[in-house]
Amino acid sequence: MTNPLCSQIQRWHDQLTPTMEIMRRLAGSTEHQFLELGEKLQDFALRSSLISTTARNLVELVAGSESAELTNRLRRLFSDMDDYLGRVSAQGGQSCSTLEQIMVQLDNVVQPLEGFQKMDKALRMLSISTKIESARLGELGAGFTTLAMDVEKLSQAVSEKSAGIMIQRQSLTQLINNNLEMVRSTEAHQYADAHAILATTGNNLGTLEQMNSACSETGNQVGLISEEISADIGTVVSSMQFHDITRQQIEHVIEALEKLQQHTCTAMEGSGEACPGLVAETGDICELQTAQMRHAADQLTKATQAILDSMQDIGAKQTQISRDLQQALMGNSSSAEKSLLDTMEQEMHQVTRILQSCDQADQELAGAMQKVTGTMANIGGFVSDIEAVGTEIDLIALNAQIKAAHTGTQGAALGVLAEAIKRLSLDAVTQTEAVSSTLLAINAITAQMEDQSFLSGEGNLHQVAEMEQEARQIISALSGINRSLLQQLSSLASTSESLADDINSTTASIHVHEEVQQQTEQSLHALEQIYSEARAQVPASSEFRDNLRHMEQRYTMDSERMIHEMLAARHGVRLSLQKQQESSGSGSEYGDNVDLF
Amino acid sequence: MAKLIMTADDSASVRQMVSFTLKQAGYDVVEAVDGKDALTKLGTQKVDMLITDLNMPNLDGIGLIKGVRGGSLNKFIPIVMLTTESQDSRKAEGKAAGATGWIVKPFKPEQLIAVVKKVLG
Repeated sequence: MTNPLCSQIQRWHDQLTPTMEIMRRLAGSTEHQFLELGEKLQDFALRSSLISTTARNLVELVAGSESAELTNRLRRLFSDMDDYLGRVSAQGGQSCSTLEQIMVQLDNVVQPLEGFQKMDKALRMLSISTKIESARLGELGAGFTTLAMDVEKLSQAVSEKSAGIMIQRQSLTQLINNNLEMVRSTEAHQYADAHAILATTGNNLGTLEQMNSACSETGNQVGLISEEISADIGTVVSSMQFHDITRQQIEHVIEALEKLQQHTCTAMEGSGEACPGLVAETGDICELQTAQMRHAADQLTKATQAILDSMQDIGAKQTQISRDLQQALMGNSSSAEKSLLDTMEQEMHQVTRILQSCDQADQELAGAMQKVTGTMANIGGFVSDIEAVGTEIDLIALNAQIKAAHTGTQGAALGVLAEAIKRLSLDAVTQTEAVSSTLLAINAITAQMEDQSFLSGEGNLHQVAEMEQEARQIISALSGINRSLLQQLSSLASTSESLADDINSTTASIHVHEEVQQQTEQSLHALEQIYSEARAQVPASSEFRDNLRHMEQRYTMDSERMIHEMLAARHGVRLSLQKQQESSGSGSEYGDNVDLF
Repeated sequence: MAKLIMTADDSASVRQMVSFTLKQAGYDVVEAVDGKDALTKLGTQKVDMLITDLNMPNLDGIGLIKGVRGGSLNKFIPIVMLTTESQDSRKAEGKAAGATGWIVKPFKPEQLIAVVKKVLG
């Protein structure tokens, strides 16, 4: 075989062997890398799905029924405490008013008591005058000495009883003043403090709700991003299949080149007459396979680039999730949330302490009112005694008048004294009536106050204790939820950060397309060189056009047949592939690449 | 209990993606490396569905479908061909052999799951 064309064919034949070797390596070498990538993708998808599930749980935790119920219960409790405080405050005001009324009434007692003191003086003077007159009359006035003694005793009785009433009144005034001071002080400070604390606690609860709401929003955001990640993973799954599709295409190219080699071997064993035809055939096959190979490599590069893009997208989204979660964690964790709940617990404790203090004040008030009642009874006793003194004065006056009448004209002065004693008895009745009516008024007021007092008694103390216990329970439950929230947030943040890092590092390590492109370029360079040299020797044959028609059945993939068609068009041949392609897809609801029979 | 689907493909990476997609949707998956391996496994194991490639060594997809339809244990299961082949003539061949459906690679996960749900009822 001395024909130069034949020598050229031999050279091409030899050149094809290492080129095909590169292609074989190319077809088999990427499998491992794609499998590894597939494993990582599965791992990423699983971890992403877990993040999504945890995020959903997190949303349920902070925005679910349990959390809402606890928050509502706490709000109701604040409202109950506020109502309670309102009633305590109103009661305090009423108590003050009542005590002030009693004070007014006690002032009313002063005048009659002064009247009693005057009566005492008058009685003492009358007693002395009676004694003097009795001494002047001698034996005739002997009976008046006893009368003077009786008047003196009455004077002492009036003095003692009125002094007793005065002491009791002062004691009452002191007691009421003290209670008024206590009630006013409670009103001025504690109620105001409790209202302020309740308002602050309500604000704190609002802040907690806002934090939880922000956290819930983050959870929902994570869920949305996770859905996008799922779509990205779907794109990766689609692109990953191009590894197998490209492998098949390269195998088809190798198959075609192997046949060319066999053909040249067989032909060159002959006389060499077939060499021009072989050159044309070599050009034809290399032209077609160059296009196929280039397309296969481009397809794999595009698919890998799509994988890279999707993975970068997933990585970026995962980084976004991590950042969102870190922010949510910073907003909810550190000391913020813990101190908020601790503060709320302390505030609840303060409020209940105030409520208990109010109860204590009311207990003291109730005790004071009992003392008022007791003192009023004592005063009542003194008043009765003075009433009796008044009656006795009346009797003594009558007795004195009778004795004076018996004494005749010499006892005229004693008659005058008897008249004076009689007037004093009338004064005594008037003064005791004044004191009595004041005491009755005070009694009516205290009785009314006892009826009004709603706080005194064990029931209210229980109510306050129950409110505090419920507040503790709710805050403890909220703390539990928030502990769990923090744990989940922390876990989510670290999981998503670690996932983002892994995805980003995996993405950075994907170079398969570059390696494929590099090896493809080597084999393409060889093929193009052979094709170029062959075409320079012998142009494309008319058989090539026929071959293009016949070869259309060999290429089963759409993409391969499209290249075939494109090349045929370049050589002025019209194939029916496009028509077949259009009819191949059913356009079903599942997509153009799906047919259900 | 999750339904069991067999995937037969000589490409490990395609098997991996099919299994991943199906498992994510809650199905159990058993893999076969070619038609012969699939037929052997289907002789003793009842599955709910078969997803097979067309071009495989030892026994291709058409041969596998014929073997399954000619057997007894999995005779009536839905069989979907998942292949790069898109020619109508090959589809007709698959349909004649007893294929239930035909999906041309590359598939999108949601497409595959929609088809599986459809054919499994």
